[in-house]
Amino acid sequence: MSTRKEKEFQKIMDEFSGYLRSLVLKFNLNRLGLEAEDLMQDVRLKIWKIIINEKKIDNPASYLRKVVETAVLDQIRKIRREEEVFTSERQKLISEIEPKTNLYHNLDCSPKEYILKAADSLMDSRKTVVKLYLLNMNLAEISAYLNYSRAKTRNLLYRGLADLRTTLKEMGFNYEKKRR
Amino acid sequence: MRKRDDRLRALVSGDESNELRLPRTGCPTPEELVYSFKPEASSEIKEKIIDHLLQCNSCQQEFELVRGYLNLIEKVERRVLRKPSNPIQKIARLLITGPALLKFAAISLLLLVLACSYFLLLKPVKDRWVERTSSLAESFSLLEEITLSQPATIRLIWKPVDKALFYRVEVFDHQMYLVWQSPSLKETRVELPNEVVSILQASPYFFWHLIIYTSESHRLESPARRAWLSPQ
Repeated sequence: MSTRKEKEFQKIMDEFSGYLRSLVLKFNLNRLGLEAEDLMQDVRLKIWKIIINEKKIDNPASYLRKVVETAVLDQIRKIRREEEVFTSERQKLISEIEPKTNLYHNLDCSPKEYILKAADSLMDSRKTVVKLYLLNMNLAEISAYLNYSRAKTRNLLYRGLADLRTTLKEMGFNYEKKRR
Repeated sequence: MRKRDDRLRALVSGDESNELRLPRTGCPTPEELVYSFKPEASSEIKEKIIDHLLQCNSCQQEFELVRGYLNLIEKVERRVLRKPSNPIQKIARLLITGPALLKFAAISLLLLVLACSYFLLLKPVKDRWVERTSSLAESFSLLEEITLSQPATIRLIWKPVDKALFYRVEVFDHQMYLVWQSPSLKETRVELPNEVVSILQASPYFFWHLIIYTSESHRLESPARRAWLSPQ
């Protein structure tokens, strides 16, 4: 096995580990007992096996895709199982402590609701691109997801964001941080 | 992208207000989330999932997980599995990963190749490229059947392409704004929906082009073709 491949693989996995850590923090997956390292270990091993057996596998790229997709499906199923337990436990606690609380209060006026309402009013082609941008996807990821060329995605995104800003302004929603 | 747009994004993705996790009964299955990333997934499915994600933090976290893994696959494929197939790629790889002496040799070789290509190859290649482009446009044989008497119909027709798995058509108005995108098509013709026809009738011409999917990761795009609705 060449050390170049090893080094390159290690570099990619380090980057990916950073991504997973930020995801775990962002969505507070720790509450479900999940750690970025746990999520990574299994996949790291599977991918490494494919790389070292590359010459023996007919189509390593498609095999890699299949293996990683299966791993991610397993992980999502695991997250859903843990989440179900966590949610039902929490609901129990909430109903014991505060039985009359309306969980759905205060949803209408959140900044997210304002932005989503404004995004829904955009023209169809721009709406989808803007929504994917709001879901943290970058230009390359949006064009791959929607099968659009980069130029078309960029065009739709810039125009869509400009429309979104105008609509939010018309709605009287100021989302920019106040400067001192 | 402007900083204030990033702020919009932060407001949407950072809104874990009251951390509500609703029951997952209406959520897409994990398989549907993964499928939505495939090129053959219809735009309706993608739009449905996107709308759901914006309302459901749990699905959003799973979607980001899938996105991360697909990026990982792409990186491993590109940087580890695929061997450099031509000399330029090999030199590029050496430049990135090789030791200092090899890097120096690779840079010298690259400069030599570039200098030779400039004097010997640049013009002929340019000419060939132009020829290839025009012949490529003809090879798609894009045609329209337009009937303007009521009810108006527009049919877009093209020649079958070897190894095509499916096709997609994109229609733009006279200012090149996207008006309609077809679902995945197996046939080599498509009739535009009535509402699209009525939008297009507002201007004397429109543009369209064909996207041909030959495998999961490869596609060809025809040049955009102008179609006149009224006599020129």
